[in-house]
Amino acid sequence: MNYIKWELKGFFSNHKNLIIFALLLIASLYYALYIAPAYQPIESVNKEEVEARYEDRKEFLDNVEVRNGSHPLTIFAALVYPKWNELDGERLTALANGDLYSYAQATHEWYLYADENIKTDPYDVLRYNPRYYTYGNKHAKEDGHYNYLYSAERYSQYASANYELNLNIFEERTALQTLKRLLESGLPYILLLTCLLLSNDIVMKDRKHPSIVNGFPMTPFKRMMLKGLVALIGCLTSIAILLPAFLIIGFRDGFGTLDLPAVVYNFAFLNNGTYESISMGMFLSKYVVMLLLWFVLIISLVLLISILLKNEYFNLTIGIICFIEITYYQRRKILDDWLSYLPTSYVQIGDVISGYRNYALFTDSITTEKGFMVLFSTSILIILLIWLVIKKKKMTI
Amino acid sequence: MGEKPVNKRKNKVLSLLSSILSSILRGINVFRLMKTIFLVERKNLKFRSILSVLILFIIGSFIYLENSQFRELEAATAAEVIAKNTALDLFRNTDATDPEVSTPIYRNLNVQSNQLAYRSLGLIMDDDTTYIQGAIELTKVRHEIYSMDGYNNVSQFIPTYRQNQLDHVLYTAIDDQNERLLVENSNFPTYIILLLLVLGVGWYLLVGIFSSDILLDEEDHKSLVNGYPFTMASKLSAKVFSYLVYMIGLLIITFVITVIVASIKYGIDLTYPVAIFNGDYFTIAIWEYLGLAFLYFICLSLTALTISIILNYYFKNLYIAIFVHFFLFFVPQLIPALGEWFWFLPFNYLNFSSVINGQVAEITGNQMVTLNNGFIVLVITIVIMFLFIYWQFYRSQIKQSKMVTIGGGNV
Repeated sequence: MNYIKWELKGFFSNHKNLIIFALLLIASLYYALYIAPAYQPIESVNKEEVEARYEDRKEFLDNVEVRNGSHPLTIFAALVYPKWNELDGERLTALANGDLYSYAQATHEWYLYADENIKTDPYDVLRYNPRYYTYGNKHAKEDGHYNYLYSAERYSQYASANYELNLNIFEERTALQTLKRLLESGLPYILLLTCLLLSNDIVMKDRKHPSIVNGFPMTPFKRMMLKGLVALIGCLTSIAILLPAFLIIGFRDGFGTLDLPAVVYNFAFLNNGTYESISMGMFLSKYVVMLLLWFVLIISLVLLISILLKNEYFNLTIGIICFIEITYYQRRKILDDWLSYLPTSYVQIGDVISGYRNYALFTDSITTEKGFMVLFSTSILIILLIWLVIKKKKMTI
Repeated sequence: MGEKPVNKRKNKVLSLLSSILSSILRGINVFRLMKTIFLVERKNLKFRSILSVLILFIIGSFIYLENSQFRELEAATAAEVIAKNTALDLFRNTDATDPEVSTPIYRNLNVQSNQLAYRSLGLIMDDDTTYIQGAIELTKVRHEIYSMDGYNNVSQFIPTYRQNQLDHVLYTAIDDQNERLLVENSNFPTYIILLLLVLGVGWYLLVGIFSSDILLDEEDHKSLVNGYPFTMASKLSAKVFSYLVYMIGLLIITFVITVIVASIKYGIDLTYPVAIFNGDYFTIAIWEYLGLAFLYFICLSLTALTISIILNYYFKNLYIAIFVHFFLFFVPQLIPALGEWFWFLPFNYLNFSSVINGQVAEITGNQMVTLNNGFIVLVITIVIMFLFIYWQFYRSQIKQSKMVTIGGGNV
């Protein structure tokens, strides 16, 4: 027990670790104060946009006369617009009445109807929200399709929700939803690299005062495991450091509840999969489990490389495993199944859990359960290797 | 103790003279020290870890190019058509030939449609000339849109002015030099562009991380280094020299391996034009691009080394050095306004890729951030930093020798 205390003290008074904690804190506060408020979702609640579309189409529908010789596009429009406009009308009245539940219901139906028509549009004239088609986006149509059905599923959950609704929830601005959005984009990289930097020197620092370290009466393997435990506690602290930023967003835009939907995509061929919701609490707990497995994996790798090569720089090269994935996972590429057995395929934890990886890569091989299995067995393998190396080398540090 | 000031000065001058004399006399031994440090450092695992990172990177870059759509024309052209169509959707359908009812920007977008159609046609019919002519005309038409009213409404659907200019000079050069069109990306020029794009971003950081403990790792083999009777300054220069030799060695290895492997895999082509920004937009051949990158990387290495030395000298912590390197590198992204006024400061030039394609000039809004200025600024920075370091160590050396004199010991 003394040893753990001693290690913890060393860990939290280490200059490097304190700098990392300070940097994380500053970056997260900066994000909460400046970047998060500027977030503009593509699928926003935009009354003007709905109104403009509604009025335009209403005028057309009021004046159109479909005859035998009418232009095919006119016939198509006269066929598609009435229902569409009806839904837009419902959305507008719900917004005007402040009835968010019926707005959610109408919006749910609107997204389903819009996606179906855009997807099967024989003339290629209908489009998803123009903000998907920015210059250089080669996957605009896929993005639009995913986000429309994602929003449809989301709004169907809101319609039957037993919690208070507001516009921040609709636009995914509450603290929990912001966290989820970050967890699905850049945050996993930051967390994993932080873990690496924090645990980087946990073994190597002992070389500076070997006599103290060897004074503790325990086997080297046990000492390694305790070191790993301390590093794990340190990494969890780095998550706790993000808490002030979370509170700031929460008090400004609302926290949201753990019942909020997190949409999961179930893969089917040709991206015709279904969308279903799990609760935010479920999403976060799956996330935490996978993140913990990743931490264990990285820390045990650091331990293994430390005792094998005895050099801090080699530990830093572990950071590469976060980026190996980009070399083989590219959109619009047929993938081999075996790639999903590599732990590196699960770096984007959020996208793995939400199924977006499968959608973007046209594959059904990357699942959460497989991720747990792969990461868990890799960690066990590495810990076994540590045990073997220590036994073989009869090493002291 | 209790000497007169004149004597003190005399002593100082004498000790200085003798140290200079001895360093000249034993100058040959400095090389021996360099050799020792070099031999010691060569065994340093740090060097091997950097080498393994680079080798992994080279392997990764080939796998990446195989899988990605990096610079593939088919997907890019299709995306451009969709983006332009979406921009057109923002306008009411009117008669584009009638200036009375249609705005200039709407007419311009319609002309773009025609040229884009030529590009698609060229791809479908496998006809390079049609594609290239369409591309050149398209960039000319687009050139006018940037000064039109209402450009901001459609800006996200068309390339920026910089990208358009780069396209323009590239396709003009391809046309002039009768080069082939690179439709797929598995070819030599595209690989080199990808390689230098990633290396250009990463090189400064790589050298920065690698040299972050340049003065701190002495402790690993103290007796060996201190065994040589040299001043701190000459030890330092030996060290910088050995680091530099190693970095240039790594650069040469990387360049040679990639060029050889790529030319075996794709067939060598050193004259294909690459569009760059250097105050003006023009193209250079691939071999010139490689050469420029090589020289620039050497400047970047030296800059990183000197910054590391100073940080090590004052903070004595390798992680502080690493963090400061990262901070300096990201300053143009974090505070673009700084680059607008302080274009002559080195942090604008640490990212080779975004300097040479004009991205830094674009985000800082200052056209002075060019490759030429980059070379000048970096070289001046290196000279100033070395003078500063020399002055620092020279001073500490005098202090040290004075202490030795006062203590009455032998050096």
